[in-house]
This record gives sequence, C-alpha cells and structure tokens, in this order.
Amino acid sequence: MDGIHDMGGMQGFGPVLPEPDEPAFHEPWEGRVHGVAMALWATDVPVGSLRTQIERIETVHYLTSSYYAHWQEALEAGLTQAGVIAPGEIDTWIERLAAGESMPVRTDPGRAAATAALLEPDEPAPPPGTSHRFALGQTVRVRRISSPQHNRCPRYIRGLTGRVERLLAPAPPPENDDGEAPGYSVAFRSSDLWPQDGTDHEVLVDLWETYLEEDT
Amino acid sequence: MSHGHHHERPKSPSELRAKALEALLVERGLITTDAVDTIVDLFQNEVGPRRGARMVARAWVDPAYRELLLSDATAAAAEMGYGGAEGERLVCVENTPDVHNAIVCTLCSCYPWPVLGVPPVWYKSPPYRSRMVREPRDVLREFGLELPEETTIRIWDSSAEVRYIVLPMRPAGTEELDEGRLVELVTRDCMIGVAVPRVAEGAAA
Repeated sequence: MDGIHDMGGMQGFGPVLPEPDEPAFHEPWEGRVHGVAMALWATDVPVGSLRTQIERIETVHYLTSSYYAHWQEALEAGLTQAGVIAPGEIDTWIERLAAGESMPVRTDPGRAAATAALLEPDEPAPPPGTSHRFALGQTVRVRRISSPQHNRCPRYIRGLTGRVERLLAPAPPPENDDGEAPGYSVAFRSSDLWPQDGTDHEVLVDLWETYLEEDT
Repeated sequence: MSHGHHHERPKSPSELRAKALEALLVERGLITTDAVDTIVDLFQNEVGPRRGARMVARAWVDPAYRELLLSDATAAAAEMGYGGAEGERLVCVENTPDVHNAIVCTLCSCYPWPVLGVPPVWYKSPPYRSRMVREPRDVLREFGLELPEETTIRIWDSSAEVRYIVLPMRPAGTEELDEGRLVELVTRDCMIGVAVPRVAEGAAA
C-alpha cells in the first residue's frame, strides 16, 4: 500500500541522530517483544506478516511511536486476526498485572533451544537459478504498482528505468503466497530518480520480476 | 531478568500491552519464558556487530576467505558459525578506492541480524530511511565521512530478501596489526557504510 512506511526520497524529516554506545534494547520490554516474536516464529502459531500489519498503522501514530511499539501492535493485530487471541484478552492481563499478579512463567529447554536455532546457520543460500526473464545489464522499467496490498516496490522508483545488476534467487513475493518469482538487484541513477537534485550516485533496489517490465 | 522488576516511572501503553501479550501467550503455553529470555540474551551478548567485524578482519588477512565473502556471504558467515533469521541470503558489497557502498531499508528496517545484531534506532528512523537514497553525501557528511567528489556512491536498499553488509577497505598503516587487532577497527557503522575504519594516532606503530 502507498503508506507512510515507504519513505525513500521523502524530504523534511530532519537530521539523522546517532546515539553513542547504543544498547541492543533501550528498555527491557523492547527485548521481550523481539523475543516474543521470535518465540512465536519457532512455533506453528499463525502470526501473519509483521510488515503487513505495521504498514496498516495509522500514519500519524506510525510517525510518533517507536519501532518496538510497531512490533507489539503488529503482533497483537496479527494474532487477533488469526483468531489466536481474542479482543479484550490483552486488556484483561493488563488489569491482572496492575492488580499485582506476577508474570506467568513457563520453561522448556527444548523450545528455548528451538527458538535460539532461528539465529543459527541454516541451509545454504539458494543459487539464482535459470528462470530469469531479464538478463544482467539489461535495462528494465518498474511497473507503476499501486496496490492496496502489502508489496515491496518503493514509490521512488516506480515508472523509472534501471539496469539489472544482479540476479536473485526466486522467492515468494509478499503479496503472493502461492508462488515464487525470480528477483533482481536493479541499479538506478540518482539523476533519473531526482533530476533536479544535481546528485550523481547510484541506488540499488531489490525487486521481484513481477514488478518489472521490458523498457520499450 | 525483566519480570517482577519495578520501574519508578509510569509504564507506557506499549510496555503495558507488551507485558500483557507475553503473559497471555505464556499462560496459554503458546510460547515459553525461557525462549524469550534466550533471544534477549543472544542479542545483548552474542549476536552483534563484533561478528561482522571478525568476518571483515579475516577477509583482510585471508584472500580465500575474502573471495568466499564476496561470492557467497551466507556461506562465509556460516563458516564462522553465524546465520539464521534475517541473514538467510547475505550479500557483501566491497568498498574500493573508487566505490563506496552503504545500506538502508527505505520500506522498514531490514538489517543483517546474524552478523550485525539488531539495528540502531537511527537506522530505523525516518530521516535515515528517507534521505540515504536521495542525499547520501549529505548524510555521510553528518556522520563525519567526507568522500572525494570522484568516488562513486552506491546505496543498497534492501527491499526484498537479501541482507547486505559492507566490506570496508583496510586502512593504510595496519600492515603490522594481527587479525585480533584489526577486528577492533571495524565498527558497526563501517559495515553499514556510514563510516570507514580509522587508525588511532600511534596505534599502528
């Protein structure tokens, strides 16, 4: 969808503000949210796509809430839509904790190990394969995608042409769970993306074949 | 341990809802407390930019490893024992005297967790995500990195499955340093591409 998450090339957000010696998590609950998400990923509980849910967060709220607040809301929305949790159950637990009840604790070393295994090397990365329609070096044009669905085609390159720089192994596009599509790293000139800026750099964007067409 | 810890300040709605969500899922048996603990511990103590730095330093001293890193970074990471979520398809892009690379995710905050850990807040922020593709020289200058006018800048927007890491150039004057000391020069920002390795005055002597 054409939401606020799609920020490439927007102006007016101000300076980048690095933080010296930044910790992995600024507050304990942020680490817990990351851990809860990965603990769910290690199970067959249907969580849905975090990105899809995050893109649906209302625009002003998106800009004024933190990364892990987005994760928390996306997890809650995904689990609710899948019917895993019911509306109101979170509020009930907020009340129970506020009333002094302790966090429930459940341990299982086997399940903890299975979760930790998500951060261990898995199968080798797949090779690009031979199913690509476009060739290295070919000029391609980005389709003018304007779907209300979740997609991974940024606005700032739509309708413009770039050069195929690298072939990427087929993977399921996020808007289509039934099939895989080959991918490409496509190199764009900044002078094509923002002709009035007077810049001269390259931006490389990874795009599924379904987002591209021949430049005719 | 974060449970049972009493904060002085009032809790934000996100914090309250996050704790309640964990409580609910644990009560149901859908997740376990120690599974969550394990992930927090890994990102706080083990899975961080030190891993990427070890890969870079090794590539600087070991031509065969460098070759592997540039041709198949997923395999190069696996050889060090690193891999998994958000690192299933790693690509390493090499800085040269003519080309400087940097990474961004304009659509969300994609980042190579297994080799750099979780991303810093600025990487996830609207200013970096919006500006890095459009005015990278200005952004790099704000990070204190002034590149020669003739250097080609290449910005990698990780918008699909690949996660990127930058192989910075080994700084001059480090010929005498062993791999362990080279690791010290490679910061997280060097592997994102918003900095280059610097040798402190006298360190190489």
